[in-house]
Amino acid sequence: MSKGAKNHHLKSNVNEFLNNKRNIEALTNVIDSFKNALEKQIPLTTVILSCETIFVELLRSHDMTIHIKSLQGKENSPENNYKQFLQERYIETFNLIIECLGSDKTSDAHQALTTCMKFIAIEGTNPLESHDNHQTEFPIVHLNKVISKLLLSHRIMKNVIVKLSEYTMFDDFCYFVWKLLLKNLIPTTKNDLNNEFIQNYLELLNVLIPASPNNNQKYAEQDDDDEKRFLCKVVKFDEQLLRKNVNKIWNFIVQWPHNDVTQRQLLVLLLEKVLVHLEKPALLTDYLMDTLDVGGQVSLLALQGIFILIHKYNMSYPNIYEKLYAMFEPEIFHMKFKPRLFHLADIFLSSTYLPETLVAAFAKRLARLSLVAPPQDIIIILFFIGNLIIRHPGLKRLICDAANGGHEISNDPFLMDECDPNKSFALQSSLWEIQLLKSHMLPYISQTAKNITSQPLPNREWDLGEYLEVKENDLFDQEISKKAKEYALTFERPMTETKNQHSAMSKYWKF
Amino acid sequence: MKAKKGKKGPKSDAIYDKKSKVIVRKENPFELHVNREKFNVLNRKTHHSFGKPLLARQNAFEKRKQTLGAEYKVQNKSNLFEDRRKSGFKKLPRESIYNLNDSEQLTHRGQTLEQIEQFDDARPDDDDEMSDEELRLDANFTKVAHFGGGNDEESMIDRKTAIDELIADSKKRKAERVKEHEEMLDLTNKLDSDYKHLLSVVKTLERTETPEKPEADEYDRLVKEMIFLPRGEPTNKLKSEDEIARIEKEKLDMLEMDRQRRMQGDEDNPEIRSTYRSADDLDDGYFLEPVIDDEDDKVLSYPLNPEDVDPQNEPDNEQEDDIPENGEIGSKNEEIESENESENADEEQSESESDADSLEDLKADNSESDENTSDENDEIPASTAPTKLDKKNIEPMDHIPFTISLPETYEKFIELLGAQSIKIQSTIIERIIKTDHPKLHFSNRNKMIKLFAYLLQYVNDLFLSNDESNITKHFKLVHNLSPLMFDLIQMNPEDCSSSFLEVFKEKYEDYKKNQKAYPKLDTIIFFKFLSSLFPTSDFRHPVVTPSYIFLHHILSQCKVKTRSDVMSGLYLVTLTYDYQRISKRFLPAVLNFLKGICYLGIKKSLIDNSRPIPPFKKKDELLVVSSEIDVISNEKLKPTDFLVTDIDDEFKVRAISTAVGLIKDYMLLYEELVGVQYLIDSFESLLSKLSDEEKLPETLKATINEVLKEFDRIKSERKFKYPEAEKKSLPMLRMLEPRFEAVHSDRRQMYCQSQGNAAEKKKLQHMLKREKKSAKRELIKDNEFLSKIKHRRMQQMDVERKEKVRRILHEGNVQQSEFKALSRTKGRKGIF
Repeated sequence: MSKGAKNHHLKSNVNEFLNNKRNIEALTNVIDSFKNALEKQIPLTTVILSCETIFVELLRSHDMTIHIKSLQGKENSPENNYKQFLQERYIETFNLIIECLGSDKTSDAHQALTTCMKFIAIEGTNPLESHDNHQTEFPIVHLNKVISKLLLSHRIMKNVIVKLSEYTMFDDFCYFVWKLLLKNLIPTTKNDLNNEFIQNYLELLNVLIPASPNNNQKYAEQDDDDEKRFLCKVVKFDEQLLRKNVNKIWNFIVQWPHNDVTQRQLLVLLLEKVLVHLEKPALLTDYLMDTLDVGGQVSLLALQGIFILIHKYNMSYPNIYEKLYAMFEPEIFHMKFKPRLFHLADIFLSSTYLPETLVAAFAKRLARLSLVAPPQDIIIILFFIGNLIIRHPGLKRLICDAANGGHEISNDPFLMDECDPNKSFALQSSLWEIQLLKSHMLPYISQTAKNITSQPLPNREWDLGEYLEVKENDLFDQEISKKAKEYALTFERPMTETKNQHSAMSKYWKF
Repeated sequence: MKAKKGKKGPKSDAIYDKKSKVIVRKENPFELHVNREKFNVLNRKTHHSFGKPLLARQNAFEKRKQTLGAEYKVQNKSNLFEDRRKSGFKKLPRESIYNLNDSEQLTHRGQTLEQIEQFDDARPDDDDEMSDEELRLDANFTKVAHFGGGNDEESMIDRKTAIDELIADSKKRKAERVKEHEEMLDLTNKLDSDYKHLLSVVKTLERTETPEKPEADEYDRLVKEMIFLPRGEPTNKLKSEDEIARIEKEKLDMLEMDRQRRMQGDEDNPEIRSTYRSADDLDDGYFLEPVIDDEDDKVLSYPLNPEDVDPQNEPDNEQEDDIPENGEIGSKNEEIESENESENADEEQSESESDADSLEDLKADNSESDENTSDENDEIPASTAPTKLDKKNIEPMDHIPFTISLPETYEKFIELLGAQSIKIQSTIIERIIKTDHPKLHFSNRNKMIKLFAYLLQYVNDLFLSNDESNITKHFKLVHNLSPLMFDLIQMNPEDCSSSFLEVFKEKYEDYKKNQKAYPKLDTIIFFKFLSSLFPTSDFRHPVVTPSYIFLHHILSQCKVKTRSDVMSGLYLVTLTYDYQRISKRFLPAVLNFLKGICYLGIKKSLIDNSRPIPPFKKKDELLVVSSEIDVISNEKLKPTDFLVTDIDDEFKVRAISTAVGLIKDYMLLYEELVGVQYLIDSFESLLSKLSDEEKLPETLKATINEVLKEFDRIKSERKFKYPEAEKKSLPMLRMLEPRFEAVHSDRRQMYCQSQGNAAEKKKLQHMLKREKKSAKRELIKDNEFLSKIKHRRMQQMDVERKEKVRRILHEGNVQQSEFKALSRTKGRKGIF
């Protein structure tokens, strides 16, 4: 059957059922085709939409609602039996749709999620079983199904979870999701606590916790239109509850076994969302100190966390400069977080009260790194060192030493391999690296190096920000965009390679 | 004295009188007005301490009388009296009042003095010409001839006789003069002869007394030598580039025509032949018999190198030899040939050199079968080049036209090059350049730019389709193309450079799509051209610098995974060495790459925790030699290595040995740089580890140890030196601008204090006010003057009128009294 015909068939079935709600055959046809589609992995959107139309209609018109009188239980009438049957179909369809959440196709998964949420919203106001005391219940069972599917499906559901952010504006939704999250905090089996689960969980938290600055603003704004704040049930959900939940969950998730990816995700979550809600941020110290030793991007994020703790929560951390010092390795130039590292280092070293030995060690280490760094990073390093010298005029002796100038010793006293910046003898050395950079092949760099060593340093520091994000491409474009006045040419007519005995080309290559 | 004075004109007399009058008028204290000064300021000149009001008033009055008064006099009068007596004598105004002599040119005998003075000592050698003195008529004559009209006694003599006398007199004088002259000559001759006699005496005296000529010193000898040095002979003027280009083109045209003629198999083309006309041709139907036979001509031509010429086996030599048969062109060609032979003229040499090039290319092409490239030698002395033609050389020339113009499209260009051998291809391109040389026609400039772009595209296409069979050929072609590209870019530096840069831009865009993978050879090969076209040692260069960034980007980002990656990297690193050989600047990524290659060659133990610099990966053992093989470690890298995929031990050894060699070269290059010890340190540890590798061939290990020794030497020579404070050059004394003080026309405070536009304006306003005031005052005074004049005139008229009235009254009175008297008498008479 072709796709068009199938769609047509589906449509006619839906219409038949909606015209005659006793038409069981049409309903089963629709559900069968759904199952069929799910098995064959063909696009599901149309099927989901047709199921949606059917059951939304059923829910709205209370055609499935079984009225239960208090203390009596439900009547066993054929009417109710039929309704019971419809409800079973409804549950079945719901489960099918939840299956779709794990679909590879993002559009299908999104559609499934929207349909689920629609069902939940409508069912909340039009419950399947109506009681005498007209109390609306949030269909938490359905929501639980959705959340469990999102968390426990052994695959990363990031794209679907992001879609959930559309619903975080509803307080009751948040309230119940938090409830479910708490419930899911301790997985039933050890196996469930895998990376995918953690990642999904963290992603969900990320969606659920509002970004900190407009936290209060959000509540203030939405006081105006109450009906929009709730999906189906009025519940009280305020910041305090949020904090309580966050704190409770945080203490658990920190203890989960993390790998590099989840650790990073966790740290990002911590820095961006969680930290402001924590009651005792000082408790993070241990965690951050541990993660600081992991290395790479994780430790950088931990460093940023520590920085926030030091900056906002008056934490003192004695070894922080050593940790920072250890982070400057040749590999940083190939990492994504390089701008962040330089930015942080700049902030850490911005105090003019730091001991000169320490700052000199940083300057010296960076200078060493500049000898293997790509050009855009050399520029950053040069300006960074320049800034350090501006802050600590005593370091000028590294560039030009009035006392020892011209004095010769056998070796550079600086120890590159020393972990402790205070023991690296940086202050006894000099910044000859910058002298060497003067003969860098790229004019921009050698010019900058010249400026730093030979000219009096300016009073104002360089703004590193504009150099941090420069890429090689930008350098190329910059150089290209320079308007050339003239193109100098060689004046020697090139000879064939065999004649040119002195060139390295002829020495190592045979053509 | 007095008499002399009297002789002077009346004017000078007056002047003298004026001068002689000493004005000893004493100042009348009552005529003075003293401006009393309150304070005596030092150094201030006082100009107006005294005033002479009366004098001033009088002067003003006089002035007004001459100006305003005169005007008033003629007011309301339509007719004018003008005294022309004076104006008639008026001199024309001089053009320049200071140049007193410009109007009057002193002449002598109708010639200006300047003209005469050019012949400074023109003695009158002709008898007819008389001296100034003689020409002057004597007093008696003038007396008679000019003023002979008086009633003097002598005037009675007949005028005619007087004139006759005059003529006789002058003739006599002339004869006297001639005689005198002859005497003088005789005397001179006599003196000369006497002197000759005397000379013999004197000579003998001198001979004995004076010594021989003094020894010629250095200077004199030099001067003598210089006198006898051969002087530069005038030669034909040197040929300009345009001319050379034209001649070259003409030559190729000629060869081409000749080739086409031979191609058609029509040896003696009547068309060409008939164009020949002998100078002696009388147009009488008798033609000079054209030379038909090749052999005849051959007899006449003498090869420079007789061994090379074998007329029997060398039908192709006619390319040169049978040219003379076509009269005009032939003679031209002979000219050119003879030019070729003369070796001392530069431009001719270059011309023949280029000729040699093209021929030599062909030669090399054929000798390609000899395989060894060392035999290829493009530079051959020009004079011998034409003689080196032999049978083999000529063959390819048969199917390449001598003039090839640039095809319209790239496709046609490719078609033209076709699957020819490298040498032929480069010859074709060379000929295109010669045919469409921009010096020949202005529009050819664009063609050359196009050709350059074609070549770039061609190279690009070639290296896109590499396979093992042709990659070596492609590289060779690149090497042959570089000189041609060089020529092309010299013609249009701007356009070609920018199109070259465009290539790099394009390649960079391509590369950016996948920054982690080495670009293919079609990108890398363009770095080869860089050093042959542009000066790579420039500090900043519009083409070179961007390509450095590109190169750096490749070396620092691309992951080394395959054999071709290693090759590409090593190729770029080698190129960089050549780029920087002069300027000795360094690029971290290049050194990092070399470190990485060494790292790849080291077998890592489990506990080894050393980390290479990215893009090299930790514990990567791509180039670790797995089995001991016996290879010559200094084997060079070959282009075919780019294409082979598997990394065998033989290649590993070669790659590592190349890297080691390059490391050594680089370190020697940077020997003078400040921190070379550090650079060496970083290599040293790697190399010493490398030398511990078991499987590495011994020869390579020995090389590594040598390099390490070399490093030790450099390190021991270099010490760590503390940076000196840069010597401050003594600041130049400050140049002080001369301070000009503003000159104020008014001493008042308000002008002295402030400067600038506003002050200037204020000042001007003030001056305007003052001027206005003074003008007003003048007008008032003028009016006063006029009214005074009017008043005076009125008074005068009144006086006159009164006088008249009085006279009339007086007359009336007299009349009356007379009448009365008369009447009294009458009356008395009457009465009486």
